[in-house]
Amino acid sequence: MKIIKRNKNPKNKEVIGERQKPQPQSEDRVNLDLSKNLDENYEKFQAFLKESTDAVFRRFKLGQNKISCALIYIDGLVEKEVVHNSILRPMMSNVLEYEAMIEDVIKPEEAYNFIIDHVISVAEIKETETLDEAMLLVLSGEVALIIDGYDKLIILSARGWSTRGLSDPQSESVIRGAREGFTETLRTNTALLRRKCKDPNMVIRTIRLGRRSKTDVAYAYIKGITNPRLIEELEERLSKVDIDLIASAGHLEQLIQDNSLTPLPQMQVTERPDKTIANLMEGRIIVLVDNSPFALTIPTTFAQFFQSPEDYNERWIVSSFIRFIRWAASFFAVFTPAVYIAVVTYHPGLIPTRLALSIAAARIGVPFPSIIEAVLMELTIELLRESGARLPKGIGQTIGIVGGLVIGDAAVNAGLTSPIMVIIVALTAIASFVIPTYSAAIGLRTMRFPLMLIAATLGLYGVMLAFIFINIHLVSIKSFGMNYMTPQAPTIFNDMKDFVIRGPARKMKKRPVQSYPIDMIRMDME
Amino acid sequence: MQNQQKGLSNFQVSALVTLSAVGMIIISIPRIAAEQAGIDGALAVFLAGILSIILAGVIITLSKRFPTKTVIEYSQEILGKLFGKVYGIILVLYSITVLSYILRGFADALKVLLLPRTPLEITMICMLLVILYCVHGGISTIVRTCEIFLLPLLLVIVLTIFFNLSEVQLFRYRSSLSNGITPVFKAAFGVTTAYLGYEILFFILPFIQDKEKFMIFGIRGTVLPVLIYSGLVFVMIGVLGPTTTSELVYPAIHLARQIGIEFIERFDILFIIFWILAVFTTLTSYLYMASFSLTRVLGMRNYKPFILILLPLCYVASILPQNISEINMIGKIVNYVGFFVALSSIPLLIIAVIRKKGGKANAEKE
Amino acid sequence: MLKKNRLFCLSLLLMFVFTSCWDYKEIEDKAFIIGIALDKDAEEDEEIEVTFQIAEPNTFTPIGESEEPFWNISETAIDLSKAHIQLAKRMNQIPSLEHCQIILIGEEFAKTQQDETLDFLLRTYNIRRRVHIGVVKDKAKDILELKFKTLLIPAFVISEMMNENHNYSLEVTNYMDIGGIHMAETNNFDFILPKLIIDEDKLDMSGGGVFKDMHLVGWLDGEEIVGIRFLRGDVNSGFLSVELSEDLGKRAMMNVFEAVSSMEPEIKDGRLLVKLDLRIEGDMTEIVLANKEINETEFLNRLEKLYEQDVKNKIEKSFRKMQQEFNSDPYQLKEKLMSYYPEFWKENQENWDEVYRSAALELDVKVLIRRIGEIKH
Repeated sequence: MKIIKRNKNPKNKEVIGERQKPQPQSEDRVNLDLSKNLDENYEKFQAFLKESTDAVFRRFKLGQNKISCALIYIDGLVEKEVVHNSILRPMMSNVLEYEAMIEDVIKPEEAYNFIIDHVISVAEIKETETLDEAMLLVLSGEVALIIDGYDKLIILSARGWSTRGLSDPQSESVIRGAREGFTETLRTNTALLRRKCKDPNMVIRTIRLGRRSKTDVAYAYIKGITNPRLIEELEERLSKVDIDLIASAGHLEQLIQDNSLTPLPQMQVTERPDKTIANLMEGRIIVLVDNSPFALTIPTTFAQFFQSPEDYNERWIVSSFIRFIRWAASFFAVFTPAVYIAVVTYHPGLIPTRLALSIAAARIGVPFPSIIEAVLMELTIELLRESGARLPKGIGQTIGIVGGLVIGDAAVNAGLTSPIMVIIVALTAIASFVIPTYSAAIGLRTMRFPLMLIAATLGLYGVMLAFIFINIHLVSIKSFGMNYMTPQAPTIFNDMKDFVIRGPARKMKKRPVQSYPIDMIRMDME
Repeated sequence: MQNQQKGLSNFQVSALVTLSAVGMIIISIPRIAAEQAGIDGALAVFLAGILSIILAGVIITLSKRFPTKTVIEYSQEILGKLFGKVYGIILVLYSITVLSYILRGFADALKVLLLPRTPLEITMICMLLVILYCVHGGISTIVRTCEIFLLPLLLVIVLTIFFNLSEVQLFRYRSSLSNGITPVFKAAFGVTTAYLGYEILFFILPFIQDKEKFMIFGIRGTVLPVLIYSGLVFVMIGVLGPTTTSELVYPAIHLARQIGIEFIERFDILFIIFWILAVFTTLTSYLYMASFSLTRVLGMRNYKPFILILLPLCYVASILPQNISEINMIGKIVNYVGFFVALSSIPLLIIAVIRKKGGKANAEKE
Repeated sequence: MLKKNRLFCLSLLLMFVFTSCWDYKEIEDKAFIIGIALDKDAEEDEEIEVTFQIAEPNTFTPIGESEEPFWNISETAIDLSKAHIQLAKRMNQIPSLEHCQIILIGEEFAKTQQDETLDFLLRTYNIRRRVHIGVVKDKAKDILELKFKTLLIPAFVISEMMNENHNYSLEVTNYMDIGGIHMAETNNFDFILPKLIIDEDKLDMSGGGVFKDMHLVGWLDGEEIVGIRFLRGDVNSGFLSVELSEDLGKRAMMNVFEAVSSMEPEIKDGRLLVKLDLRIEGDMTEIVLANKEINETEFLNRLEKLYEQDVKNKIEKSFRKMQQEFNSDPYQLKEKLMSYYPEFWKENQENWDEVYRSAALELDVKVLIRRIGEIKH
């Protein structure tokens, strides 16, 4: 099913907010302008929506003059209470009462303004003159009101659908942080942002992307801190997106990122509002996509992947220690199997003698060469991890124990692998989960396999060359024009305070240069 | 980006210069110094370092007269188009020769010390591929990798020196200068090969962000190798004595191998692994110089295709020497040629002043 | 288009890299030689007998204990490198010297052929520089056959003994490693190796073997080594005992925790004068039958004097023995002379032996007793 169509050379560059022409479901082309005749407008709507059973059409008459009106909405997207009490009842019964009271009738010419000014008690209304805009709004959850004799429609906001309440962000939990995470509704997410930052300079703008899905995409920044050229760059990239469906935030991320040849992410994806607010304050831009509880942070650097909001809730000495462990863990996660293979097969002189003899003894019964053994065990761990992600909660725990202990132990006893290998693989797996950002963790993990192959071919020399290669690669990635490895390269000493260690809160007076903010002093730290 | 750095930062400049100089030669420099100067090897190395700092200063002064041009361009201005191009060709050939020499010396050392049965070609090709990737990214990629690698390399060398400090037998140094200072000066000329790499200063001024501070940071970059090498040779000759040091082909490795902490057994393997970083940065520097010079001599702008052209050339040149003694001979030649290339900045500067080329006053005139 | 071709060629090149792993050798396919014993062959005059002690990996797994955690294999060949290659005839594993802990030299071998083996050991990259070397009275291979209670492998036991025991007893000399021997060979100085001797099925490591010009010339026993160690200045700790005079008590033992010595050559009237400055600090660990009537300060002073005299005697005796009987200089005297008096050295290079033989010794020994333990004297 071809929902997503990728257009390599978008000939029509989409200007932000430009309307798109919807394709009618029926064969005949429909004139998209509205007429003053209710029946004609009604027919036009029906041409699109009559095959969908969740579209509701309600005709009724207004007042003693029996002015025809019609309501159109999508069931499930509107809050029925509002439709009953704030739209239908005032229009149907209250008008009659009012007419009786003033002993007058509402004339068709004044019906429109009268309805808007006095009858409908809905907080947010819009007026529209084209069918496609009305259609879009109805499909977004609004209610369209057609009045006979007018070629304008009133769009009433009565949105209400069932949504997941604010809950603990599942992919990033912290011990001492807030438990609210983003949800799938864009408006709730922007509301969360507003709650955390009441600065009037914080700007939230919404556009629509996706030719068929018409997904709402919002981006937020703080005027006065964020570099205007960054905003321009983002807007330009968003306008180049020409695709049917924006499936999720991750999908959007891949459509606007700089470099698709690298396993590492160039935008941070997070579910936590506190992390996004901190990033906003540092001059970054946040992108929120409707139907996705993840926010994208632009731009990002490699050092950011090791920061967790936890660090800022604890004291700086403790946080520095933990952050240092994270860096060491990421190094282990990538290099340990390769270094083990290289050392054991190429340079056993590097290991202390007793350990070398233990390893030799452990390996005597194993039929595979070290490299095959290592690759097999790593693949097994990846299989376990992948299957663990899909299992329901109850069985997931069991598989963890079964996989870890029983299979590992049984494999050793059967002579398929040596105990050292099991330990190394287990440590590597644990170490890779220490990295707070999931996408960075799996990106780094994929580097393990080629590294193991290189280690088996060229020993520690190969590992070192691969290390150099990875460094060159990391250094040449740019995230929205920002060097990926700031503050290591280029070295910016001011930013080092938040890099491997976490500096004391009182010393963090200046914003990091990482996003080139135009306002360098954090005003809240005097 | 509005405020983004438009060029190399100061720290990057010094890191680049330091890492270009600290290279393959670090493992054999104690032997060369001990052969030529005996117990005064450290002093000879130090004097050679001072010489290199002075020459680096001259190169920087010369470059500063032409803030937007690299040596290929301003040599044509100073010497006239023909001689300038000849000078450029000499630089290209020099860079290729040094690159091949370092690559071959490195591969040979690796074969003896680490991977005895792996063919030389494989070692060299792998290194060449990685250098290709780095130089292809441009000068900014090169300096950024230099920045990252500076610290680990320094750490390992400092550790090696530090752990051997207690074994230095100071009484050997009582007979320093027993033969007078003249042999030391002569020996200093023989060890300038240690510091070769600062020729990169000829090429980078147009790309630097803060051109005023070029002198300070360029010099700073040259000072660090002086300290490292002098320290290393000092400890080496102090621990093992000049006679033994001149017998070892790769003395620094033995220094690392001697470190006897409880469970660290073969520290020399770690030393070799980090030494690969030093070799890598030096090689990228020279490849960049070679391809950049070649493009500019031919009058073109984009140097990236030329990297691919030069790489097979360098490889072929690396496999030409037949055995280790030929390599040592080439090394001696490279030593003197490199010294003269750096020395050539002095006559260039003099001619530039005489012919009133470059500099602020003349730029305004133009 | 060009970019695609480039990538293709590069990936082809990469495939060449992965064609084979040349140095890949599984760790269990290597036989780790952990000790070597070199002896002169009984029958052939030119040949030597090399005994390799190879560790059996099974020792260290908790699952199953092998009876013999090591095994010895002897090869006869003209020198060590040939013997090493000959091992390939006998085992399915590749012998590897990476974890060699000790090299033991038999008496006969040390007297005649010792200097020939050094080259192989230094030229190969795969051996640690800190391999301990010891000399054995009679046959070296007997040491490798000894049975020990803890840590069943002799090579490990001896290596650890050489590492540690000299800090505990003054009669055990500090070890020499390959690096040291290399320096000795290139600079042509003499040294002392720890002596191993089998005494009723038990190992005795006191004393040392004296080497001159890379050949064994004699033995020193435990007592004599004490003086040498003080002369060399490599005493870190140890126990020193002395007989007390009648009115003081019977005997005493001191735990030396610091011994700082500096030995310097000096030329006086054309003669070599060796000046030794020694300061020993220690605590008393045993005073047998001390005379409690003498007061403490005086007691300690007299004890110190006794110690000083004792140490002086020991040093002088050892020095004379080294000087006259063996004419060997294990204290780097020659090197120091080269550094301190280069002109004198240039003149007298040839007759160093004579210069050394007629050298005088000047001692300045100071013993300081700091503490006396938990009970009063």
